[in-house]
Amino acid sequence: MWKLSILCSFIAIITGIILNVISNSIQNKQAHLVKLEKQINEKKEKLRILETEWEYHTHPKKLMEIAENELGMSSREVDQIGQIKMFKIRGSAWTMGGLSTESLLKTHFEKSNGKMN
Amino acid sequence: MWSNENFILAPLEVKRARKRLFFSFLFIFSIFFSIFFQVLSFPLQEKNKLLLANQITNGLNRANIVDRNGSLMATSIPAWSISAHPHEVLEPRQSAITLHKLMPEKSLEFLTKQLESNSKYVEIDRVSSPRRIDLILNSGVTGIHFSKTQTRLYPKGNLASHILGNVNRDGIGLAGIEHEMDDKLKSNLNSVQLTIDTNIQYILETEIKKQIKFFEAKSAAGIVLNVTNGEILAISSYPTFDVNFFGEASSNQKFNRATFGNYDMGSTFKLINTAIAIDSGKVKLEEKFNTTKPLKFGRHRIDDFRYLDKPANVAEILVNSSNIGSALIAERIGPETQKHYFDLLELTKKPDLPLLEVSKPIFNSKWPRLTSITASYGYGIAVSPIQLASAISCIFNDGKFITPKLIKNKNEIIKKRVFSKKTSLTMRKLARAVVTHPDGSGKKANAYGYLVGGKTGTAEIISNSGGFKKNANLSSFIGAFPINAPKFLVLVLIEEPKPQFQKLKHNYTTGGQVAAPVVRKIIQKIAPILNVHPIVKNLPKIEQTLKLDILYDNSKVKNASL
Repeated sequence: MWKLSILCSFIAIITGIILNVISNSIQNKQAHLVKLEKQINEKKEKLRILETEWEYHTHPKKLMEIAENELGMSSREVDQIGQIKMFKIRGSAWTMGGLSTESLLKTHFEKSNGKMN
Repeated sequence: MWSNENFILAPLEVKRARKRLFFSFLFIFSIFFSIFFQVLSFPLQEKNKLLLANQITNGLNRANIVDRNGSLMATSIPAWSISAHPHEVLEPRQSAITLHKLMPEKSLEFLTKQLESNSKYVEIDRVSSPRRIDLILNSGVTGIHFSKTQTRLYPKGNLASHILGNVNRDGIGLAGIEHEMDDKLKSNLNSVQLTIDTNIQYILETEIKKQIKFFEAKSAAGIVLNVTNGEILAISSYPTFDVNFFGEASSNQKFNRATFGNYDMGSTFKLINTAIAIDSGKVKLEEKFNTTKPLKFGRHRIDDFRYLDKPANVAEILVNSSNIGSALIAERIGPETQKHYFDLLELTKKPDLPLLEVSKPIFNSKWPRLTSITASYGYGIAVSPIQLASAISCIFNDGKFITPKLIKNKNEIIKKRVFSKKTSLTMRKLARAVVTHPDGSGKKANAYGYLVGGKTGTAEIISNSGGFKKNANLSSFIGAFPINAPKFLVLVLIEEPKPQFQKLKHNYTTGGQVAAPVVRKIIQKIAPILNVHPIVKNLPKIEQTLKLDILYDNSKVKNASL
């Protein structure tokens, strides 16, 4: 009987030690986790502020103003878009080695079509 | 030597002792193991997961509202609140002067009153920046305390302000999406995504604002809707306000005309009346009605803006926007059939939108003959602009009704057939004729290459004392593009535009003059964003397929009635 008592006591002590070690380890890990969470939280807060600033700076009104003032861009009307045929190309003024722009474009399109085929 | 043999115990007692010992060990072990397993399982418990999640979002626990492209429309950011414990403040007057220099928006009187208060705790500023906190800390003023809080911020300012709404100081939604989605925003870590596109919203608001200024109008509303899935891409009400300063906005500014305003829409309803007439089979497109003289229904007289010199067919009635013709068509349709279609188009019930500010339509529920007649040209039933937009988009969308939606989700789109495909095609041709025909009232909406089709509306506004206001119109245009296969719908309503003879050399404030040009500009600007390309090469061919011979060739007229 006493052997059983010693064995049980021994198991209980070992279990206690293991339990204590695990418990400490969990506590440490939790403390570390809380620290990490705090850091993540702080980063998230900073990220939100940056995102908000970004949204403020990319407000369509601001973008439109910047595009107009800095790049000279403005909204195009559809009737401003035309086809190449609409331009009257003066062959004599736009000649390159005896070839007019019109004939150059024609050759280019023919070549492109040939490649595609 | 000590041994067990030195004790003489009765066998029965030994047995009992062994049993006791065994159960004692069993008891102790069970305690040990229960503690052991509990400690091990602690980090895995569900409630701890939630605890961790809350720790992560601590202080930022209200979800963002984003547009369809993920662009932030509402967010919560950390801030500091400033309070004071007056009994800890040395020299309250001098401290108030110092604080006033650091926060000039707070009056010296207010700060002095707060710091000289007998209370244990007073609030100085609800939301402050970290920089201000630094300055106060360095100022040497005693008895000031700071606590971390959060504030709701709307980076786009005025944009879609009526839709977003606002929250109170405790973070509870007060209006708009903030109110209707309050629980989801509070509990869910995921953002609420709207169907709104901020770029399209900006274009809609800017163009409406320009026209408001030009015509010195009172107010306006505008909607851009995807007719194929019911998504609201932009929705605007004017006057507007900056959501960040919700408390400072007047009730007139906060009033969402697009969903909460009820209007007698006027001639835009003729599209609905004509679609019902054709779809129900009660009237044929080529049938003629006498539109040369005013009509009398009891005490009521129905007039036209300009009388047609000869009887007109259904197509001509719509293109010329004849009230008389529409009333005669409604007579043929009958109140029951008309009401049935109005119910199907959900014009007689409150629209299902996740907003607090959504109104019920106003009409006579008995739907008498007179209501039926006046409803044919947009009077006697007051609906909100969003209801008109969804009803008209049904006509253009092959006759399928889709409930408009503001929240982007993967829910299945429920389509309800109201009109036949054939009716829809005829109506699209008619809508195109309103914009291209020489007699059409919507010519100014014709954005080259985008095949706009629609209808103008010029309604008189009912005054608060009853009757109609003098010289006060509700000018509107509702149009879809490209009308051969409509994808998007634009509605613009401008309330009480003033005649601009100096600028325009005429005094017209009709839908065709005021709202149609705005719709054209909006379409030209939003089409590239929506990936709709202008049709240039095949335009004449497509135009030909959309042409209604009946409008251009009178010889095809077969029947004549009335």
